[in-house]
Amino acid sequence: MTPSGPDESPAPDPLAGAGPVLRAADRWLGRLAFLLVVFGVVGVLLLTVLTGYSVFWRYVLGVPITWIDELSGYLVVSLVMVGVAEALRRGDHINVDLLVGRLGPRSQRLVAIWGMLAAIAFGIVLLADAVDAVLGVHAMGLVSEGYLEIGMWIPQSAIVLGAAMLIVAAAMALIRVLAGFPAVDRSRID
Amino acid sequence: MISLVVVLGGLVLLLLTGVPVFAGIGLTSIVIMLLVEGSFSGVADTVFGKLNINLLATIPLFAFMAYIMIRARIVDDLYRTAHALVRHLPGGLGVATVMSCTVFSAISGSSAATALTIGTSAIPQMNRYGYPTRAALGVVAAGGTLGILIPPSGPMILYAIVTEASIGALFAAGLIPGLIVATLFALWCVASNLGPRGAQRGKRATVREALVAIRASFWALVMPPLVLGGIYFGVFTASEAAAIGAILALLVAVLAYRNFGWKDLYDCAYDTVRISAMLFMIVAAAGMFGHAVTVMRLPNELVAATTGAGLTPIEFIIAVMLVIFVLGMFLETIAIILITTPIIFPVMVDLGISPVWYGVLLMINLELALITPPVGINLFVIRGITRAPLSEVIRGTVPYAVLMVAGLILMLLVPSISLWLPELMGFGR
Repeated sequence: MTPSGPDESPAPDPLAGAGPVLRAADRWLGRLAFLLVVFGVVGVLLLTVLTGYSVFWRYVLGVPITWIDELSGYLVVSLVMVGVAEALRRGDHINVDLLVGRLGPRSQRLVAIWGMLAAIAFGIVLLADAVDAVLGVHAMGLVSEGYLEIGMWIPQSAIVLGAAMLIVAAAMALIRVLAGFPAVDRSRID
Repeated sequence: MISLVVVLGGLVLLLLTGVPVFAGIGLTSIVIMLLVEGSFSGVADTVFGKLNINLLATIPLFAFMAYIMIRARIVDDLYRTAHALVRHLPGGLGVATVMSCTVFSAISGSSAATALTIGTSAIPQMNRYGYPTRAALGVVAAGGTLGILIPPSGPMILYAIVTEASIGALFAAGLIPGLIVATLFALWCVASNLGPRGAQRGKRATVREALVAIRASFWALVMPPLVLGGIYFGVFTASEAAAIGAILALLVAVLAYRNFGWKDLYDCAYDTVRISAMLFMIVAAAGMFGHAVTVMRLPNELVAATTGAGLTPIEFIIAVMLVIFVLGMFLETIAIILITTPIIFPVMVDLGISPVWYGVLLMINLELALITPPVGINLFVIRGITRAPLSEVIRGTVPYAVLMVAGLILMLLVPSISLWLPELMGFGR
């Protein structure tokens, strides 16, 4: 379940020589993605602690905590959605490079543009449907069926956020490629 | 059947154009839904439903545990420990590699991480003691694949989510086949190093040396039985076991190894968020794909075609295994599981095939995919570590690929090897 290893080595500035607008846009996207990832980091820790806490209460105190399973599901959805932009920015998303990996730099650029357009198209469809779903659920006042009984629009809003961030991150990557820079930022820490 | 070929062929072609896998699967599903239903309404609900599953929490939690153990260097001495125990055997360096890959697999659940971590320490040692280069490259690449079969395997968890098979049963089912495949690998290391041309053998370790070596890897050796034992004996659910594993790993890192600070904790959680986002976006898209092929009635068509052709369960599985073997040459393992399982699963149910048994066969086949060119992730990992020519790495893995095929045939012919332990533990089929 772990990837091939953390990339610790500091990478050279991927936008060296870029204009101030591109650099500023990229920097702001980086900050936004980073902020969301911090929420994700808190989510991972919360998921670990809450699940451990639930085991402790059930086995040591003999009292099962019923709402943690439900919350864990929502945390998983949130983890994915807050991390999706950062994963795209860092080039984590898998693609099959069997054929395209053999192409020259010009064609590779076209492939990167094609890949980002596909991600944007996917994000737009997901965003449109997620907004529709959240508004519908909110209007109907649906609450979760579990013990938490929270409005379902709250956890479902994570999909809206994730899809929107996916579009923004893919659009930024597209602009980077069109401006002649790599789509992916390999530097590790903002 | 024509629609099946068109959908799968179209999807594979789209993925070969280099689009991100999640986007390729997602867009294919959206196009199918538009063509069949005239709208893509319900996409967000499907994504939410596929991600809002408690069992999915198991994957980030096990990943978090593995990141902590790697970062705190709890697993660093595994290879040295294994080497101390078996260095006197012919091919002892290779056997030690297989042993350490087996233990690491039970911690990380990832094939690439196993090959990378063990390869980094094992390959220089094997070079130093004159182990044939090609054989050294092959044993690490192949040993790393055990991460898929030996629990806690990430791909197995994803398969369990798609089929709703018991994750405890799958973990138990993978254990004996995993150990059999590992034993076959180790026996090959011994057999190929017999005689005067074999690699240099070490001196048998004294009892004291062996105990010191085991002590160096104590926590790495203790963690898998502690965590997995909880699942096997029904003490924890899989996600609870993973959380307890992560907490234990953290305690060991902070209290025993004393090399783990707040920044390390942040970095491990950060890496967990990234890998979860990458992996679960594919899960979400695959959920859409499962919905799309269902509205196309593709599984029903496949059931009808299978029944019409009068295929027996074994014949059906052999046909599926051949298709997956071919897909494994081109696609990544997670994509293969999530694309093929929703289509195949209804036929398995119709033919009375145990999803647990099929899961084990699938995992062995996917192990093979990891070392089968042109797309074999472990081949690239080993090439990345060693800078050896890819052709040399591929040649080194050939004997192991043959052994995996033998293992696959054995598990196919004798289902009880996979199903005995889950039944013994009361998981049923």
